[in-house]
Amino acid sequence: MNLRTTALLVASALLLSGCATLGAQYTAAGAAPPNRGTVYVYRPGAMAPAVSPTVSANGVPLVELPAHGYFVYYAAPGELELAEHTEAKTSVTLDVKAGETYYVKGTVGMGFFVGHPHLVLVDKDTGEKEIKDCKLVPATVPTAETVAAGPPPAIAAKK
Amino acid sequence: MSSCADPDLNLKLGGKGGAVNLTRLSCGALRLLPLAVLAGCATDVTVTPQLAEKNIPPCQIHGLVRYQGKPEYLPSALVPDQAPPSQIAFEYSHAVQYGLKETDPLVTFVNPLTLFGFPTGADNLIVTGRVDLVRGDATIRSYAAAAAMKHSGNVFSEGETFTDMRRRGLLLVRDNLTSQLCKDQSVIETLLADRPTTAKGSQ
Repeated sequence: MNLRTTALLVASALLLSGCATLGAQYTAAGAAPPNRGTVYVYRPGAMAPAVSPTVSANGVPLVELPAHGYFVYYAAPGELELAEHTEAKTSVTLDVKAGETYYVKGTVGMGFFVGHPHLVLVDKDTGEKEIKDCKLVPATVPTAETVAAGPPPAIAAKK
Repeated sequence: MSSCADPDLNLKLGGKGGAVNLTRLSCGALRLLPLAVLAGCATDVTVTPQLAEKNIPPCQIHGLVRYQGKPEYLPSALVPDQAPPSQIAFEYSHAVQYGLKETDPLVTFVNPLTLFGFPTGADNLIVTGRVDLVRGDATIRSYAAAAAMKHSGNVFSEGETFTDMRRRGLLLVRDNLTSQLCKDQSVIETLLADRPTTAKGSQ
């Protein structure tokens, strides 16, 4: 394999590493289970496509959030801390009420080595408008019961 | 290996009028760099209303308290009483509003000052809290407080997270409301005793 081929392969790998496979275009989720709030976490825009931070809820990893992706989490009422880590940490806390819907927007800004993630709670109008361009992240999102049980021992030990 | 404290490395430039010590200049700049980097991490906090009286002694006001959040955010002046003699209830509620302002990534990328800690965005947060004294359906007196917080992030650090800012804001609002309630303790206890009073709602 000559140098040119190697360079092309490396460049292709770098380009494709940011192209996560996403599912269906956004559609509003059905009614939340009883005594649960609906939390949409989405990431519009194509900034830093190679960075897909894992979103965690109260310390329990949920799913990776790539550019243009979204997922739905049905949260138990009370405080819910959603966080992401790269070389920097971001977290936002919601006061979840049963039957309510929340939109949390994720972005990735410039960092020193890796992009810095940001999560922010946005109002319903903004959320509904921006999430339309996103596609479902094809992953199983842990339930509120799993989150309530706490982080796995390996993660808990790090804290 | 040289260091900023090494006097032998001082290079002098300049004419008769004076000399410019390049090493000292660069060392000074290096010492200021961490300050420039950290400058983006500090959070500006403003709490309103500002109370003229700073040292209001702590107090306890017993009554029916309606509040569904974490007990640590409840103003410490309010002591829940399940069977109070008064028909007045204290209703406490708080709200948090988030705002994120990010600099355009292209501007951040081409800005040479980014590497010296120039802000890449700003997080804003406003926490509001309110205590209502309610008799039946009527609010007879209200107390409110707000904490506005803002901080900038840079490529080295994002500083406080929204979660940290929210918690700090809720504690500041709690303490401000505690001071307001204690300052008005006698008026509130008069209301709780259902005695006639000329007091009017504040804030």
